[in-house]
Amino acid sequence: MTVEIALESIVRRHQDGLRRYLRLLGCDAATADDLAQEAFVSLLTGRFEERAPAATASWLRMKARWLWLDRRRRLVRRREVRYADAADRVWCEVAPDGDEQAYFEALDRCLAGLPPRSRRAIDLRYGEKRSRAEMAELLKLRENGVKTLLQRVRASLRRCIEERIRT
Amino acid sequence: MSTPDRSPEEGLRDRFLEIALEERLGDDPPADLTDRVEAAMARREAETYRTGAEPTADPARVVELPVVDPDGARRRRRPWWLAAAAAAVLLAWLAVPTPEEDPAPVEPAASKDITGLVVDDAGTPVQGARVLLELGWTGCDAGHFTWWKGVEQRQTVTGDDGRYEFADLPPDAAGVLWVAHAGLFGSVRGRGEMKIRLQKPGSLRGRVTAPKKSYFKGMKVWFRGPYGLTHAKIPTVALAKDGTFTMDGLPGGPGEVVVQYHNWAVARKAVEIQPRKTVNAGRIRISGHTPQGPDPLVDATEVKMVDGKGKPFPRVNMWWRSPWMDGGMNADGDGIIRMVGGGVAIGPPPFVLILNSTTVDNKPHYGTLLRIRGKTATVQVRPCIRVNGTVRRGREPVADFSVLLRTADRAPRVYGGQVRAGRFDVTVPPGEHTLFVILPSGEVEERKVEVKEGEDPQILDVDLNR
Repeated sequence: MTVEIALESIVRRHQDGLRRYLRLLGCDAATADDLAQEAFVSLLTGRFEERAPAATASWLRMKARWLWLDRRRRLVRRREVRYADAADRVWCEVAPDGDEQAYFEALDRCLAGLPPRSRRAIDLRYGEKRSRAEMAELLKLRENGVKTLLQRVRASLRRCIEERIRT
Repeated sequence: MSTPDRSPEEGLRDRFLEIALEERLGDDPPADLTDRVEAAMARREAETYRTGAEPTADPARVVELPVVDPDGARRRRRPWWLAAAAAAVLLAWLAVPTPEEDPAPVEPAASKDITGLVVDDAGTPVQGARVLLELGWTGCDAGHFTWWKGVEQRQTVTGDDGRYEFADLPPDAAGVLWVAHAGLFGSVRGRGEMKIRLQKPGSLRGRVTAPKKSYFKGMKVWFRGPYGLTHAKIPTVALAKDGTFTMDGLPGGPGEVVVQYHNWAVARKAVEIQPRKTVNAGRIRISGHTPQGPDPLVDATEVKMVDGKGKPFPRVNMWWRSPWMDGGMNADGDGIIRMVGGGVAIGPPPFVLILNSTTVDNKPHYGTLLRIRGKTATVQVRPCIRVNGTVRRGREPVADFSVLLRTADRAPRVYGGQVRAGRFDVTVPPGEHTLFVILPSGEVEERKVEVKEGEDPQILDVDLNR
């Protein structure tokens, strides 16, 4: 019973962050799920002792990182290792205490402050998963215009989020 | 991606934002992995049971590399990350260029070493000293040394020149080194080249104070050595009748004295051990749950729960804490909670009554200790009041803030509120409180407020301009 509770609580607590980290490394959603599962199994079948959520999250990220490198072992080169190092640095920025909650809260507030046209573009791309061509038609822009608009909105969102997290 | 000189971090920041946006705005939330993990663990267990051996590794599993320890003994199991780091080095070395990438020359990644010199207190290199290494690694909380304790310990012996070396460590490996040699001790923390200076041990004395002297009998006192080293653990010592203690043979450097009374209370005090000297840690007070705290310590064996009119209050649930364990129970039909007997063997009093843990049908209540007669303590239980409201500055609503309410008692309690969509919500006992509104800028606003009994919920809007 105790083990089941620990399993459930550990998986529920860490799965979202671990999946995001794997997707940050470049995994698609299905691969991220597979590797996250492997990382949890490895953690829970080993000599695991939960000391602190942040330590568990760090352990899982290190494990996931290695699983990812292992899966790409035929392709892996030092560049990949450096890329994973960079991903770790970015992760530390977005989740300084091992928790991305602050990032998501800032994102929500920044999304709420977007001008209507920018918000519409973001909703079409990430909410409705429209292609660039479809967006161009709906927004009455050229495809290049859509690309530029999305780049600008993302840049402005990033600035806003970084500003909010800093303060 | 758009500019050639863009750093990988820039691209990754964009990628994280895209992941977050897809998650926030998409309509297909990611699935819960609990069942998958449980099923995978069951499969693994079944395979182990069927074959009597560890399941074979699938392509995504960790490869456990055989590692040879300093004594030459072949060791099958190593921590995952050591295998991971070694494999990463190997894989980097074996790297095959992918068709879509430039065939740049590939060099094997260099593994990092921890090396250095061990000298005695006169500065002479020490030959044949056993050097123990506990490895750790720094995670996101860079700057702090995050321990994954017990993950990896290695040892080696210094050579003729007093030098030691730990090779083939994971990249950026950092660790604590510990040497105990011929009555001298030394420790150092860091990475790369490190010199360890051995010193004579020191001693420590101190005195523990507690609400009752009888508590000294069950107390344990120990010393945690420099950097929390496993090797540097010092056996527990007992307290004298007057609460004093002494410890000898302690390694020099930072450490802490820990005093524990069963599972009840822990006190810690940082100390700096001086070689050849006796350091006085002074008084260490066990005061976690004493009569001075918000929760009363009672010698009673049962608690009678009564309502506002003094009538027995059945169905009240309350938690208490004893030196041996914590417990919680519903009052019986007569409003009595028996902390001793009743089939529950949790040891004799004293007990700490956790008065703000009282609930009735899962609704928060609060308790007040009315009296103790013989072995029966009487606690009056009343419902807490829900208070909610908004915070604004003039006409402008304030969106980001947090709220705390502190009772006006001599031993105050603090209640945290939830804030959603600019509205706070907190459940507190009635009476006078101090309301704290904390803004992201660090600004803290204080207001005296009165939560009236009987009105539930109560609205409390705060104007920061007033």
